[in-house]
Amino acid sequence: MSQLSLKGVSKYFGGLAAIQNLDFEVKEGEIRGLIGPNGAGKTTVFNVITGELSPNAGEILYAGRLLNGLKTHQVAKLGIVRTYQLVTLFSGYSALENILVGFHSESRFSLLDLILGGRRSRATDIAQLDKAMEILAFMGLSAFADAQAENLPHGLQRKLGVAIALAARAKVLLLDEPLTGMNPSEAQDMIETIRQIRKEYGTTIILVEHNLQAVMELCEKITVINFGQKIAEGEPGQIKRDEKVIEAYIGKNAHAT
Amino acid sequence: MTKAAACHNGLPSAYLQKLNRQKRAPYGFLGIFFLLSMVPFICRNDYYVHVMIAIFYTVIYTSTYRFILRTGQFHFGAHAFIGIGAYASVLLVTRAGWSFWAAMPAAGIIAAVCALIVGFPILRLKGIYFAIITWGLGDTLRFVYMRFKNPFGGALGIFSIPGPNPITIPGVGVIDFSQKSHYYILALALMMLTLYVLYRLERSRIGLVFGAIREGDQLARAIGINIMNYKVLAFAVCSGLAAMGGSFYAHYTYYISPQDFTVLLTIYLAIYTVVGGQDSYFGAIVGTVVLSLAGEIFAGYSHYQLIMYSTFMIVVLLFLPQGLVSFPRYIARLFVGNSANEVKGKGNESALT
Amino acid sequence: MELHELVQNVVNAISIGSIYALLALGLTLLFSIMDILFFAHGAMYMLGAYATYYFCTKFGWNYFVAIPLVILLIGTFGTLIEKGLFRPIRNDHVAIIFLGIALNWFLESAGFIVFGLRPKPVASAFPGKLQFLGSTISWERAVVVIIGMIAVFSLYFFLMRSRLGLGLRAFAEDPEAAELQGISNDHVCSLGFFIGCGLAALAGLLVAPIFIITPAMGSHAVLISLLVIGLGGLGSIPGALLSAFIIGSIESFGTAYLGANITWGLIFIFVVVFLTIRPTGILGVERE
Ligand SMILES: Nc1ncnc2c1ncn2[C@@H]1O[C@H](COP(=O)(O)OP(=O)(O)OP(=O)(O)O)[C@@H](O)[C@H]1O
Ligand SMILES: [Mg+2]
Repeated sequence: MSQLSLKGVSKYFGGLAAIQNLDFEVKEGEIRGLIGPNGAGKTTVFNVITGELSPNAGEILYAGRLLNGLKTHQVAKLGIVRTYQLVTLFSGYSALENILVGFHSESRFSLLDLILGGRRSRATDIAQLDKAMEILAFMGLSAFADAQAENLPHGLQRKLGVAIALAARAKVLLLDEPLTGMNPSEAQDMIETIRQIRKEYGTTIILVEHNLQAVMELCEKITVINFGQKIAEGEPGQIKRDEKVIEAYIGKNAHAT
Repeated sequence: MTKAAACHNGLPSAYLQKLNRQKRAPYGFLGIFFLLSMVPFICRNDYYVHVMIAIFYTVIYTSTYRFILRTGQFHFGAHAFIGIGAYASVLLVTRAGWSFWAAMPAAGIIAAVCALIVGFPILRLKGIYFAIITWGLGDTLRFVYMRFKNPFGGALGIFSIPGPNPITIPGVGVIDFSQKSHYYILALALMMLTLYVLYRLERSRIGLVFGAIREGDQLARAIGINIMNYKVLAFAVCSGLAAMGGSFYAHYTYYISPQDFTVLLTIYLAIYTVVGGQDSYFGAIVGTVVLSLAGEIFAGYSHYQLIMYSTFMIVVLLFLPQGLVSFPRYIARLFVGNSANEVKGKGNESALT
Repeated sequence: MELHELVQNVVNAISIGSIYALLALGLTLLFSIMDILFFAHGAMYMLGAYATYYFCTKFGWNYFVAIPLVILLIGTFGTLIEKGLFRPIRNDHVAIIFLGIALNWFLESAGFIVFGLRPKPVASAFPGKLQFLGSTISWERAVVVIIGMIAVFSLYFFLMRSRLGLGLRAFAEDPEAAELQGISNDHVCSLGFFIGCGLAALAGLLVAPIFIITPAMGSHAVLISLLVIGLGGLGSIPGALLSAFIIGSIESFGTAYLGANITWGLIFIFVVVFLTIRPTGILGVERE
């Protein structure tokens, strides 16, 4: 049974078809690669799933529920959380505070309690602190808890971005180029972290990435799009050999395939 | 050993310090309350006490106004909700025979509910539209008060409003509001309450979310924050608190009229906020105190007063964009050189936490 | 309603609408060029009226001589304000709004001190009445409409036909692209302020013989202009014109039949409800 599925989804910007009649299904707990050359429409796929853009046609279903028309925050509440291609953090906050914001909807707080700041509210503060430290530890960021997000090195900022999504209880995690700008060892570390996330939290992951090596290594299945259309889908081995995919990538990442 | 304990010995010391400060904050607020409450018993000059009272209720208006401004809404109708508070409480007391002590919170709740009702449709509006609508709302209410003599008293307003009912405080005695000092304590208590609520809204977990919305609304949405709800919440809570200030004002001055709640009131609040420094929690307070005191020099010459205020505002906007609260830093920078303080420039917030 | 009453009110509506249109045009023009709301617009209107008082009543000059002088004077004042105060913080839109507010109240209070509290009369340049469909219309009101129309059309042709106007519009569309084409940001802003303040001053000049001149007239005017451009759709010139006449009509008919206070209440409620339902105003487009 698929957890998230797109059926005939299209998105146009004026005359330009950023996605065209796209079908694709992701199973629960899967790590799915979504690849394609620059401008293929990958980020746009994320945007329509999270409701940041509304599709011109087609349906997006999540656990049997229609997502079309929902606002971004509603989609996120259901458990679909994304990261951004350009690192996006609460940059003036410490790493720890970034995580804590992710917990915003936990502890159905009583406003009065929160405002008066009584014992119960303080207990929640401590409980959340514990959980946040756990996530930071899981992501290998413990040592940077108090560091201001914008002062972190780039690789760690990317990790923090993922950590925030985890804090927001992502069931489906949409990662937009999480390896960009990382050196090989950082990238390897991130790949390992993504595996761990799936293992520990059972999170479904859709990975958009130009580092095809990493995608091949991580994903069970890969969807390839070009000019907004799906041109291939299958296991990494299949995709490597696919004529159309090689063609789409020729001159760019041909050597990597 | 629990994980929490491990954390205490371990890493996020800065954050734990923040939590500890929050834990101690109520004592700080109480301490300031007791310190300030001695003033009228030391200085028995009614005029000074009156000035302090006026500052107290104005601080309530200004700091709630600032908080709404900080949620990214260009609020121009503070006078509407202050007016609602004043009229509601006066009518509850004079027409329905309520005690002031019930009418004041009720007025706050009525204003908060009004803010909720108008909040959801209008908070969607961007910038200037929000300003126009809130301004329009305030003036519409003013016309309503003027048009309907019964029960609002028409253009002349409502006279001989009774003061608060006497109360007995065990160990202190009867407070019957026969003296300015009694009002002083009440205004002070209301102000400290408001400031505490705002402090929590700004510094507690919920404050973290408000700040996050400011830092990046796109990411905030992407992790499931319903920005509208938070804005409406701030709008309602702040309008309710301001309305309680309005209620106090009515029962303190014994007289209200539609002319008390014109857009000029909101403009004063905007000036106080900007001059004090809108980024800082203390900005609204500093702005109100400094300008109110400076304004006393021109008391009775409102044109000169406004000239002074607007000059202040223009100078601050052009030369001290973070407001008077940043003045010490500004001076320090002149002497120390800019590099040392540059980092602090952005997060006024964190500098004051 | 008798026919002559109807005609009377329609004429009233059109003349009030023309004034509001002039006021709103300047404001909305500045908004579309620079994305700012210039709150001191009302003060410019007030200064325009006082300048007229000084020129016509005090110095006894001819009204038609005063027209270009007043526009030039206040327009220049506007560009000076832009250069001295607004340019340094041009990119901070919130600060700009507050600056406008401060300036408005500064000029208004200064007006009370300099010009005094007492309203000033300006003798009518066009005494006499004309008969029209059984109703009597003062020439003044007719002149307001005529000059207002001339101003609106000249602005329209200036924007649509002249090179400068094209530059302004290009800049309003896309400041960066316009700058690349050599249209200077600074010049556009100066020109925008000159036109905006000049239009406000012209409105002040036209009302001077009809209304009472007091320093407080500016704040009232800026509120109305805000309502007008808000209702019309921020940045939309046709929208501003349309809504100026809508509000002018409500005011004229409302005041005649319901009284001024209720009418203003109604106008506010109308605008509030309208904007709540259609947050972009009548002809506004969704801006990002
Ligand atoms: N908001 C927008 N308005 C107009 N066009 C857009 C918008 N967003 C994306 N596009 C266009 O849609 C197409 C797909 O863009 P998208 O960002 O989805 O590509 P991508 O696959 O993520 O590319 P990259 O690998 O460079 O990130 C591109 O041609 C882009 O220019
Ligand atoms: Mg992309």
